[in-house]
Amino acid sequence: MLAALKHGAVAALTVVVAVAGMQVLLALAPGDPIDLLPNAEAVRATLEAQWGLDVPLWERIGRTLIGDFGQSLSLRPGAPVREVIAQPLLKTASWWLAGSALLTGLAAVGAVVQRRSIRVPRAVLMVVSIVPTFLLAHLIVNGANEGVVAATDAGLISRPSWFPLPLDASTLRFVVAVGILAIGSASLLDAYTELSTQVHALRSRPFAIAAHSRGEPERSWLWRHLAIAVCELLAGRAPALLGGLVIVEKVLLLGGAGTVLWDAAVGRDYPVALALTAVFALWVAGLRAVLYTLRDHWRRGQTA
Amino acid sequence: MKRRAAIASLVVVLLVALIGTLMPDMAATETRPDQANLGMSWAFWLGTDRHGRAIATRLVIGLSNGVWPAVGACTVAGVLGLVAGTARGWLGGLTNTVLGFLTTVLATMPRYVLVLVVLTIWGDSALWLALAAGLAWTPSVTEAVSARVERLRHSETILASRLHGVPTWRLLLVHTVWFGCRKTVTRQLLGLFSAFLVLEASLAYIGGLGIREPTPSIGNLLAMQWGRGAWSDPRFWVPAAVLLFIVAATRALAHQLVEPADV
Repeated sequence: MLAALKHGAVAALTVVVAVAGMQVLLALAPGDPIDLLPNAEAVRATLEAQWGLDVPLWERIGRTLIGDFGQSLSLRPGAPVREVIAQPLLKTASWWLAGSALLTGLAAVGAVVQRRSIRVPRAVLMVVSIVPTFLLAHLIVNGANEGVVAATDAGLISRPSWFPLPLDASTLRFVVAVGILAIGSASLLDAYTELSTQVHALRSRPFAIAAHSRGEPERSWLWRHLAIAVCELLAGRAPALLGGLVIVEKVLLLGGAGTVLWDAAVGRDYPVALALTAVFALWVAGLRAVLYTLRDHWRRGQTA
Repeated sequence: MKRRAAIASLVVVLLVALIGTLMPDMAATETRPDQANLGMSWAFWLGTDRHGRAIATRLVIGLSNGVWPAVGACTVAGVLGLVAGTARGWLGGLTNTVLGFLTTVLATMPRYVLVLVVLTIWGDSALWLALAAGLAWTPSVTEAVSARVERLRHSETILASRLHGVPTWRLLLVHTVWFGCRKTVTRQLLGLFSAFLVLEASLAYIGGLGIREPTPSIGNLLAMQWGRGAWSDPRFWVPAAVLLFIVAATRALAHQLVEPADV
């Protein structure tokens, strides 16, 4: 309970400082969005009040922290930012969850079975890990589309429902997005190496050697102990997965929060960009608080 | 051998970038419709694009447009990370707690998100891109330096030097930072260098941010030639190969710089 409170307090303070930092950065920036308008001085007073630019810094921070992100400036002018980002955030959450599950699943299974007959193709992972996410995505998309064109021209198949990628929503597009996210953005190779080191260390510990000599199956203890390492892995990779989604969503035309953030950056819609940054900070800090609480709980259980 | 090859590769990349800096911008931006879409020849080593601009020239200048901001980002992350990490590791206590917390705050925000939000607020230019990327990568440099300095501070060598009256500034700057952390910092900065080039290429390739047409960059070159059959077209795959080559060389060199205590 105490650990949960401690991690929760750190997460809350982290979000407060992150939001304050972003607002300070905004306050320090030269000029404001009104300067970009042709009749800036004529409409300044009205727009400052409407867009909340005349509000003191501390009040802006307070408003952001209670979820009042103001209005969108260029993406959907005048619409509340909460409306603009709500649906895309839900989509992003689903891709993020699937990417995290695939990453940890592949890394953990690969780390556990490394001693056995099945070996993770490390060379393949190494090659994939150096290919930038946007190139990997376009390589897969182009390969799939050209493959279908060739097969269709040869009369081997009829036009699949998902063709051409990535224009329409389809299961294949989802699978490609999640796969690229887990393997490329979150660097499956690094995750696999991290968990392999943990598995190796666990197998060398006295309790593991004793359990092995008693003839107990490895699964009775290994996965339980590996859960701690998985928690730390997920906590460490959460920002990379979110960052990777920005690129994957743009390249595969997914239309989630990453796409909204990109479009906000292009259109200089800073209320939307700041709101998404605050939500992402809350996302990562909150997740870390939960995972670190679980980790501490399991650690205490093992020590006892 | 691998280390020498990787260093030589990166030196070549920097030299090419230097040549690109010395070349006039007009060489890469001037359009010549009469020379559009030419194949490889002695006059145009990699052919020309649809505007009649020489791909090889654009690649060299584009590389320099990406490499120097990457060096700038490395300088920002290196200086901030080294100062904060050394202070955390050497002083410990409250300094470590406060700087550690600030590092955690910065690390909580995904790097791409932090870069995008800085570009949103401050505007889209190579300078802000370099500063934002440097800031976004500072936590990893800080963490690595702080862990190493703290280990070294308690090492027997440092304790013995202290007993022999070696001044603190010398212990800190020479023994700890220079001899103790240079490989760790270089490894981190090599990672940032390649990550910045990938970041810049991603921004320019997806469009709307980063270096924009007609100014060349690796991302612009890739975006310009993308389409059916792009992978068999040297105007596409040569810039892609250059990017992959730099990423692979920096990774290989960074791998060579891993110290036993860093693993």
